Amino acid sequence: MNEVNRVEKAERLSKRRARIFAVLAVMFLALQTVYLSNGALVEASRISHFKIGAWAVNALVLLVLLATGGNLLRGRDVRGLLDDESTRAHRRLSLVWGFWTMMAVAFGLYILDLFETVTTREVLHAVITFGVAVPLLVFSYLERRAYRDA
Amino acid sequence: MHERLNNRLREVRTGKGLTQADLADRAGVSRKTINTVENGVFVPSTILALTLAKVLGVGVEDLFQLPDA
Repeated sequence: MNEVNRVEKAERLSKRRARIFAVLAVMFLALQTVYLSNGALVEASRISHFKIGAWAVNALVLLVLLATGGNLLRGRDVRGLLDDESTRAHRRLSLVWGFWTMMAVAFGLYILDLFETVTTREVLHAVITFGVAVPLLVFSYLERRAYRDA
Repeated sequence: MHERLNNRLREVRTGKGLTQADLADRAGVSRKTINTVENGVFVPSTILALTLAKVLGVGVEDLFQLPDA
């Protein structure tokens, strides 16, 4: 592949990845209304277990995408450009945001538990949900910002 | 401890007649990385700073300086 074409291809994939990450994060957050509205987190029915399982798989897939940057089937040279120095810095910063978000959610629920019963599953669900979605959104924002004023 | 670097990367790059994509390819990074370094958004590692200097055929201090240097 032509050298500059390789850079352009990586750029196209990188921009697409940023957009996809944002969409996936928003969809993941929006889907949580299913769990909040119909008590799937506290019921012990088979369908609730299925919903919770689906959420867990979804969260795991998003975490893998965040950790690897996706595009695992691309050639090594393009993958190298998709995971270069600034990308890794963006990922580190997004994970820092994820950590502090999880702390904030955990503290919030700790305080809420003083006034209202919160189950372990609800706490874990909230902490993991925000711990997955926020880094994806931050990573997406940083990646898109990096192309400004080019 | 400085958090920012002054840099002349854009000036030196354009002086050599290179696009961001050209430089990105020669340095083995994405154009995004070159753009963020040029805009002062991203402080490159020592390895990348040395690579950029080598690719452009200048000293690293011709590209990057501490703000009060």
